[in-house]
Amino acid sequence: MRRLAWKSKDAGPGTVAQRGETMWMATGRGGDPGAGETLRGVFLIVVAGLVLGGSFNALGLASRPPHGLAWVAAADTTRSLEALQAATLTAIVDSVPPAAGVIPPQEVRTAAEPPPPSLSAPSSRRPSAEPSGPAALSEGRPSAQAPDGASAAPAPTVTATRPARVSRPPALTSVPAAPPPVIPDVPGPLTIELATLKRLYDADAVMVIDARAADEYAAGHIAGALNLPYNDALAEPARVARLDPRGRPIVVYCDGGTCELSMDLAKLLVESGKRRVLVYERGIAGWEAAGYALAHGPEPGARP
Amino acid sequence: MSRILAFVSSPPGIRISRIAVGLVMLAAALAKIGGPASFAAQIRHFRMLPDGPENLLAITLPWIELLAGLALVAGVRARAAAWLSLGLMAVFTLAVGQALGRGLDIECGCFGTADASRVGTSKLLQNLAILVVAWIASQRSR
Repeated sequence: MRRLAWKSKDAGPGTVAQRGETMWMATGRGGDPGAGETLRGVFLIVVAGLVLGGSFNALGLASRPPHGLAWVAAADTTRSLEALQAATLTAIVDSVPPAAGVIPPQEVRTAAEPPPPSLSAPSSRRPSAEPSGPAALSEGRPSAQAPDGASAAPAPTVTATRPARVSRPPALTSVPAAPPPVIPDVPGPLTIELATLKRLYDADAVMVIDARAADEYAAGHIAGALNLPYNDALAEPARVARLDPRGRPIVVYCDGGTCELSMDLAKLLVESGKRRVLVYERGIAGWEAAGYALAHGPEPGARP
Repeated sequence: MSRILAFVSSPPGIRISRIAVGLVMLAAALAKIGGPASFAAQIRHFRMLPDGPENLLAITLPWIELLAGLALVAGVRARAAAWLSLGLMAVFTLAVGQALGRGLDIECGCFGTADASRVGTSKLLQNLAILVVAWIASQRSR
């Protein structure tokens, strides 16, 4: 009805003849309505879109298995996680010697258990290979101490420890072949620095995952890293379920800089039940800048 | 030049721009409609919204785009749909512009996850071009 009205109003024969629009008018389209009617149309489309999108999502959430999206992004537990991060990260970072250098994995695995804190306090300030100075003598250093690594207790394996139980091992800073840091079991991704990653990596005590797209992975990745692009993980939860870190923590990385894929994937892993998920935020850029091992080419066994 | 201007403001020109913008809106909508979760993540990466509304936006925006695209292509309430597309494109262009200005290296998410194009100058130019066509499409056709 409305279209007929427009046509009679806007498309008089004179207008059509003047503009030579016979063909277009013949398609049955009239002119446009004015601004008021157009605004009503905009409103109509927006409301219809909101209703359609809302009901589609509601249907999805109600169906089994549910699909769809929570209505409002769950208010991140960011603040409590940050507190956790501060506490646990101090523990992790402190357990990493500042200038550890490259440590062969065997050495790490057979490293001596740090002595109890009471014994280690004086020894933590002396280089272990040098003859004892006057300070050590005056402190009554036990002369019959076994050389490092000989009385080796097995290195503590990476175990699921509650954050509250993570204690600072005070002597680790002076033992050159310290065991890899113990990663606590926290309900969210922890960010780690290069030194921590390197120690875990050298001890093969971590599963490394590249969260970037397959072509970026092929162009260069941390040697031994698996490739799980965030979008793939989102689309195929089975690929996340198939990940088997063999009791080790998982480190996720991407480009570095403002790349957010690693944190997104880490959150996804945590949501799907993985614990001890770490994010190396400086990503491949930080790893490459340090000159550590890169590998190229697609993931072995990856689909083309 | 004046001929071009005359054509784009003529009913055929407006009609063609509307169909073009409609197809763009349809493509964008269909790419995003099935994966609200990844779209929500991409919205978050633009760092323009506080936590919370991005999910609602990810749920509803593709449907609004879909309706606008359908209306433009079918020519039903086409001018309203063209106004809406113009507004949406303006917001998207602002989003890309601010991401570029802040140096965010993120996926555009403009056409869903299948489109891995990053936010960059070419994306901004592409958006501006669509914006111009949407402006033509929003003119009143008599």
